[in-house]
Amino acid sequence: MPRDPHDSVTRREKGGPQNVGKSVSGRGEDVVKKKGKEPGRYEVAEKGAGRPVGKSTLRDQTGVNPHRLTTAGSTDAPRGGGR
Amino acid sequence: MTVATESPKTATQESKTSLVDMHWDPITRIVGSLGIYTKIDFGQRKVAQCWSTSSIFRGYSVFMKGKDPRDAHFITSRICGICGDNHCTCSVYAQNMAYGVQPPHLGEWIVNLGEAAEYMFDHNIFQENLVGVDFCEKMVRETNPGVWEKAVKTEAPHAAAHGYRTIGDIMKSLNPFEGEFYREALQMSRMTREMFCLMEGRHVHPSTLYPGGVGTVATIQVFTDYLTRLMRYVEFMKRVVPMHDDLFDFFYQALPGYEQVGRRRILLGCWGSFQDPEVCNFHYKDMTHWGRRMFVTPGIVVDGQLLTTDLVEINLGIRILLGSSFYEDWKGKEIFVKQDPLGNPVDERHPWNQHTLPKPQKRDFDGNYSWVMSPRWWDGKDHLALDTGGGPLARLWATALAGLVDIGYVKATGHSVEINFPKTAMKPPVTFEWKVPQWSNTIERNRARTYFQAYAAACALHFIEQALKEVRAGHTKTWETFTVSKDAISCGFTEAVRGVLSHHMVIRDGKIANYHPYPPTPWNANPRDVYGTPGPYEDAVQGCPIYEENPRDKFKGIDVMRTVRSFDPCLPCGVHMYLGGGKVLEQRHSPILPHNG
Repeated sequence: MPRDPHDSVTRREKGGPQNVGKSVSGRGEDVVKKKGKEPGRYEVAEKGAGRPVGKSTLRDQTGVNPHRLTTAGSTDAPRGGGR
Repeated sequence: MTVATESPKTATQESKTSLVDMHWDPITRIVGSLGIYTKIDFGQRKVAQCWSTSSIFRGYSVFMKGKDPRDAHFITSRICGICGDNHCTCSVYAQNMAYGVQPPHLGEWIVNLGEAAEYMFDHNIFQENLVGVDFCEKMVRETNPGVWEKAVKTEAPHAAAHGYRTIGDIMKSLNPFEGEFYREALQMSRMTREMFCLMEGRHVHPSTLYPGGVGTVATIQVFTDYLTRLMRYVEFMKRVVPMHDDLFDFFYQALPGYEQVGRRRILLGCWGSFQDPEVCNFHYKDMTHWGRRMFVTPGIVVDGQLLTTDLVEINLGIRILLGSSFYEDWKGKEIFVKQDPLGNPVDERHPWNQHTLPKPQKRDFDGNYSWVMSPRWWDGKDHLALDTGGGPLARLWATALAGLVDIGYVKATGHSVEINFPKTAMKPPVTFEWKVPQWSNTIERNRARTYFQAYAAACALHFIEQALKEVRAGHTKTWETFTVSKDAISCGFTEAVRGVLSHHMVIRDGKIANYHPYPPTPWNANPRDVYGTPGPYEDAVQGCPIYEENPRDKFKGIDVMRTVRSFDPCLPCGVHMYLGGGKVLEQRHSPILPHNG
């Protein structure tokens, strides 16, 4: 069966699969490059197979009047239910 | 989609040889893509020939070209409405390798927990609500009334563990929509989907999985929500494993010789699952090392022997053959990758170098008859037609023989896999042991599925302990930034629910130049290759003895169906069957065009 020259699967020129698919949405990676790290997050070390370890403060959970730790020495684990 | 008409050629053959054409098309879970065509010899009570065909072309490898590689996991997830997350995960692994990024430990544990929930969910719904129907009271009464009579008189050896006094009681509980266990399993499927969504955001196309980590907000609460559900599942498995052992052992006992149903040479492939962040850095040069530390060991088992557990060797041995597929050969076309990052030569037939050149044509069982290509594994001498054993059989077999996994909850002994469950609400601690079986056949594929559900749950117990340790230490980072490489080659290996899954990617100028996902069903459902070697479905069904008691005009093909379903291919809904007498049961035309993505 001869190929359909207008079929997007087999077209090689403009309109073919090699020429479409440019992402239109913003990229998190690009935002980080421009604005830097998000407030309230900091790196600690590496662990295992070169894997990064990072912690966050309560500022990471809210930008509005973040609380201080109520128990000295406790971790800044995020609250349940997300932010 | 089914056109069931008898060809004059077939009719002539039938009258001379007493062979009867039996067709099931489509057998599918997503689209009408899988058909099984057989010739059954009712005189000798066995299947004489079988062809496995796929009538839908999808073409992901074609339209991935030119895309931003960061989109790969979102796009390839849509390949499948059942195991999309496995594709997403595999693509993320391939991207991690391409960008040289390692997610934080917590990110990796979350991926592992999500994938464990997927195994628990998908195997459960398939085994109990789809495969179970093939073994339920109604089906067995219709196909083997003699077996049903035995079942009601046979005491279940593990009745105390699962609560069903006789095998007949187990079969009754599997009756669709009304059976007690059938309905309970549906509830379990719902709960395991919730577990999945807690980790990966959405089922079955995850919204929180990215290269470099996950977007899941890691809190104590999200993990305890998962854990409470997991413990209910563990309790459930304490009943399910002995129940299925009783059911499957009964079939061997009630139908002597039933081990021959769906039996083929032991040719199993497993690409490994669940990364260990302590050792996995996603570098190709270290892949042998971190591949062996996966919590399901990658491996190739031939005739009961473990050939290799080396992911580099596994990768380099993959060959994509044609022979009976609707494609043009790509011989002489551009070679994308001549050497892997370790300097090993890469074959022209390797997925890194594959070109997809669709050539729609009429189905011809003496020529080309499927959209599936024929993946094979080159052992240095032969192109082996590996199957996945529906996923769990190969996973447990490779893991057991390798003897590398030992995390307390699961332990590979070299000849078996031990699964240790802690105390749950109503039951004491329990240890199950999956032992390497004698055969690669229908019953053992199904039995392994139940054991792997338990294996996945036991692994999840380990993963959640590790994840909670991270959170309690305040290590809440779940992702790492990365830069997209201008030029790169990479691969990802994991296990989709029903078996091996690989993604191979070539990036040029920051765009995808070549991308080939290889899911399990092409490995299992492929047609005869260029050397004439049949694919695993064809191989397992050809020569399969017929134990069904029905005469030809009432024949259901239960032994064939059990065999095909043991590989966990697709939903059997919409299956139409052609009976030898020439009666057209149903004729349908699908509006799906062959070029549909």
